[in-house]
Amino acid sequence: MNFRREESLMIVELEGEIDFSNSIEIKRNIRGEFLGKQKNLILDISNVEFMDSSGVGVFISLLKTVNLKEGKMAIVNPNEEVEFVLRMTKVEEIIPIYRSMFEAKQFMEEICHE
Amino acid sequence: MNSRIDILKASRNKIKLWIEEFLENQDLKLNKKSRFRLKLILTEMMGNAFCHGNKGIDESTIKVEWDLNDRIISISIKDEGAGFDFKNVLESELKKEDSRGRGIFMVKQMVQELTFLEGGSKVAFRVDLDDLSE
Repeated sequence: MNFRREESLMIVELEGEIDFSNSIEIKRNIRGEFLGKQKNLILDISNVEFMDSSGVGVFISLLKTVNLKEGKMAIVNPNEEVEFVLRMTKVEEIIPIYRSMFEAKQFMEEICHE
Repeated sequence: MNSRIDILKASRNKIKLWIEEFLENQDLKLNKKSRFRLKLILTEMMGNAFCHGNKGIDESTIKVEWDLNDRIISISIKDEGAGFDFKNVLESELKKEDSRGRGIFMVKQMVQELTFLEGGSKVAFRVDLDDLSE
């Protein structure tokens, strides 16, 4: 897991599998890094190969944290099957999904300039 | 016909290894999509058995029985727990902003039949492997 910070934005690059075996640890690690002036969150899941409902639970839980900070959250580049999971669980209705980091950052900037 | 009973002394890693080995069974003839989805179903149901049924206790027992007949695989998973209010879970709608309760909701959409037995400590389901690719 990699973290990058750009002003009020934190970008998290996730990889591998997110499931019942590691979801609590992943959530704890991201929350631990998402501090101070960071209020917007982009999860880059290009390299996530597999995800179950525990992974979905991590994303929803992080959305609640972002909402408390009055920030915005986006997901970038899920593979076809991970996107199937996000669609089936209706995550895409509450967290926007973008194909590229460029599009996700544009979304964040639009929000910041509103 | 291909069938087996496995009794796992479970931990998170052992469950993941069991699922990976199971998916390597050449008789299942899985493609990329059906492999992902069968893995998703098994991860949800075995994760539930371990985390909720067996309270995440290492070396607790999970019994898996399965048989493959033509392209239909029937699987049952039994944990050591006391069961749960499965009627409520089966009938409930997905709450989009609730961080829990999505696993069984997803599995219901991918299997032909899903039945909880023995008060909820055992779950049985059938999967049409060809349907998983669609």
